[in-house]
Amino acid sequence: MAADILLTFITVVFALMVVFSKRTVVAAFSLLMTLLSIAMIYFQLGTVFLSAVQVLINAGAIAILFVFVMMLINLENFTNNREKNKTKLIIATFTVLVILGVLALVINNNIETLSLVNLADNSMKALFEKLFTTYYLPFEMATVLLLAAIVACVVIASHGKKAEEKQ
Amino acid sequence: MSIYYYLSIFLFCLGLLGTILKKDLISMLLCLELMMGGVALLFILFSKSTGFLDAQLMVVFTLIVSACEVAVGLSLIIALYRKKQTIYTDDIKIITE
Amino acid sequence: MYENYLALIPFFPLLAFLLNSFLIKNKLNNVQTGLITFMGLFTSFILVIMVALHVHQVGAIHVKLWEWMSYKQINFDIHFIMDELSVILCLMVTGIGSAIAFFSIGYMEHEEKVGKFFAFFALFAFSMLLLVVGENFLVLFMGWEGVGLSSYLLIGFWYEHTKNGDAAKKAFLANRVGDFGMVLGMIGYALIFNTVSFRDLQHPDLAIIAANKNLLIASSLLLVLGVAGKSAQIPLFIWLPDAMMGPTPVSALMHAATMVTAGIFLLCRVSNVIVHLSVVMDVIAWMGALTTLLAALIALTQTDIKKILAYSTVSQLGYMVMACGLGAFSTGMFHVFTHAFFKALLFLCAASVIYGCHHEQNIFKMGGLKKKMPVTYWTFLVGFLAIAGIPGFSGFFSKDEILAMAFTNPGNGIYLYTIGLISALLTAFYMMRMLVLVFIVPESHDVHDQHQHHVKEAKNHDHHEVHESPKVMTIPLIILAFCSFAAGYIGMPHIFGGHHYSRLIQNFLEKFVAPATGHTHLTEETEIIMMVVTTVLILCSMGAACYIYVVNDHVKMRDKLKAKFLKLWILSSNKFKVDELYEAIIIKPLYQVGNFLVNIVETHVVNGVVKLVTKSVDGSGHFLDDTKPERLEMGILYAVIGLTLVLTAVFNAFVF
Repeated sequence: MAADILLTFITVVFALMVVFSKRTVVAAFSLLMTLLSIAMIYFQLGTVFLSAVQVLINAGAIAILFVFVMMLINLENFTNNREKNKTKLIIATFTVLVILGVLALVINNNIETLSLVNLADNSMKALFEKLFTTYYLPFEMATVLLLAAIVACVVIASHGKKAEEKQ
Repeated sequence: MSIYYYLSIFLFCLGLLGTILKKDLISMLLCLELMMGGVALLFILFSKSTGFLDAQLMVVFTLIVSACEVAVGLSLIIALYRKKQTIYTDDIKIITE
Repeated sequence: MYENYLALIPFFPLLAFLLNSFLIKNKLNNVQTGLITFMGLFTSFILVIMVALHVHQVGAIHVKLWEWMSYKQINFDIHFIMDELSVILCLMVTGIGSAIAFFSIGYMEHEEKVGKFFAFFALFAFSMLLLVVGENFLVLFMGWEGVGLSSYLLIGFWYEHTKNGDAAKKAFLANRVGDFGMVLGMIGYALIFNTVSFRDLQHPDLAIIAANKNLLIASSLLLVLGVAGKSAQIPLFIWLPDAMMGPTPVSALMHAATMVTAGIFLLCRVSNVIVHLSVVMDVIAWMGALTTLLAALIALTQTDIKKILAYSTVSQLGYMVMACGLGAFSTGMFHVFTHAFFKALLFLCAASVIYGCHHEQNIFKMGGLKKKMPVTYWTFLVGFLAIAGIPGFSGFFSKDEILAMAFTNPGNGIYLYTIGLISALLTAFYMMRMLVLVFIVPESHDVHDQHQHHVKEAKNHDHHEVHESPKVMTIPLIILAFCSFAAGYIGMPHIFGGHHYSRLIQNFLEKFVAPATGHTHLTEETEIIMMVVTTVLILCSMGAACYIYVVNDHVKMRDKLKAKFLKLWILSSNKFKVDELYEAIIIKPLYQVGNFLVNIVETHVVNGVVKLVTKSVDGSGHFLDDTKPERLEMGILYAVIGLTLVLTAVFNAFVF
């Protein structure tokens, strides 16, 4: 019980820091910590493989990518002193609270059916069996997707460089 | 254990709020990632509650796609920075021009 | 077989209308179009005579053409009936209509667009016949509206002059007010008696009458409003004098003989019901009496030959309505019958005079026509004697009987009798005045000067002397003169009776309408004394008119009398300012309301609403537009708002 609450608390703290910090770098690192704590939650739930995958990809690749890009565009020079739009703030908060409320109510009503059952067969073997038989096609397509994403990034990022060099 | 459900939707909504309120593109992407994390957590919880393992695989694929998306998005931001020297949405009048 | 004839009776004028208006356009000259209408009317006349003889032997006949609709127990169907009441009016309409059509062929010879005139004439005849043979309120109302429309079309026949158009509008509007009352009255009757058929109303259920007394009184009073509109009684008589702007044969047909009697016809149709409602009868009687008096007073000082006849018509209509109000419906119809003949005759004589004097209508400018237009003079004399009520002529019998009924009526009878008697004297006076000034008095010198002017303007007249009208116009005059003399002999009072046909009309009519009870109270001697007294008084008033206008120089006498009774003269010659009163009370406030609506309501309220809509749309567009610099974020926000809505909509099933 305590583990649940502790992990939840940590995640919430870091998530709030992501959204409400003034400096973007702080936000990026907070995201990193959030993802790590989510990975710890996965671990606590028993899905070990996914926890590892989360650390590797999400925390290890994505968050680091964010930090690299921030270094590239020299984020420190920017100060975020734009005027706050109060109207937008109010509307947005209200809307999001409505969504939150609806979802919370949905979960609340169905909480009995959603109570967690500990799986007997929690191993990676069963998971990979599923992956390489039923979901083989998406697996391969994910590969292709990754390749396409790499190519796209290279093209987009380098295009501007060439244009600058020509001038 | 069931507190994780509330956590997941909380993360989702927090990410949504951040996406709307933040003014620079990188922060928006950060909050987008937060949303994804919350959704992934929800999927895992569903997998646990119904006993199907398929949901965990969904999470894997979601993660992969999210990684691609972040990469492409960031490269776009770099390109935009090169063109306009800014990453704030206030200064970007894409549609009107 | 006679049912078929009955169904065909309104058909021939309709055929004439269609031929004249649609099928043969501009291919016939004036005489031929007139002949088509005349033939249509004359054929109907022959059919009516045949059916009338049959009805006299057998009784009422009716034919149902088709059923239009039925609501609960009320059947609305196109149903013709020829009972005793319709027979009288049909004979009048078709007979006098044919005579006038024949006359108009000559009168309208030099006019333009005569085909249109005869088409409207035929339309009027068709509508009037529908009105008369209608078996239920529905067909009667169809005819009622039709004659109103034809009246409008024919009064405004020369619509190039705005005044004629205004007169036509006035007639139609006054009629409309009456129609409003009539429709509401019809609905009331339909609701109370659960039928619109007159056959059912002939013997009404007394229990129903007693049970719905107030509603029935209200409906009957509304019907009386309709009568007032169509028959030119006190509130709504203003249209009839202005209706003289139309061609004179139109005035002869409609506003003398047939259309204006439609109101009295309606009263007779519902007579069996309203006899039991004493309030309504009193209202009708007083309305008639006051109208008689008022119109007679106004006619004293009029100078236009047609206007005098118009007010005289209003006055006589008042007599008929008064008779109906006293319960003597058959007497009222008898007066309708005789009045039709002599009034049509008088109007046609006036038309002949106008034609002969080249459209001069002021009687003070005419004179001495006795020698120049003899036939017109003698026929006019017959009509004048009839209307004045000289014994031997038809008007005497009918008018005297009305006065007798008034005298014996319990209650207000005496007052009605005196009013009727005074109006009779006034009638004799102004008709004598007209006769004298038009025919007998030597020609004034203004006439010659006028003719010099007219010669240059007249297009079609070769000779600029006053001349007698052609035979095509004088023959109908002679026929009508004979009828107006003889028509009285079929309705004579009891004391002269003994002959089988002497009370023909009254007996005939009373098979339908409620019987008149007045004559049983009257002894023989009283009746003879009344007749003698009336005749003597009438002769005295005729003598007074002669004295004023013939013996002395009428110009000097006129000025002297005018000076003496100046106030009354002004009041009378301005028609008692009735038109001005209506204008001040009704028309001006309506215009003010209209102005208010246009200037204030429309510009501010209506336009304000429209402006509000446009401004709000515009403003919201601007509001959305102002968030341009943060377009991306707003886009996200909107997407999220949409998501919220979808979520709330979809997940409601799970939540609740």
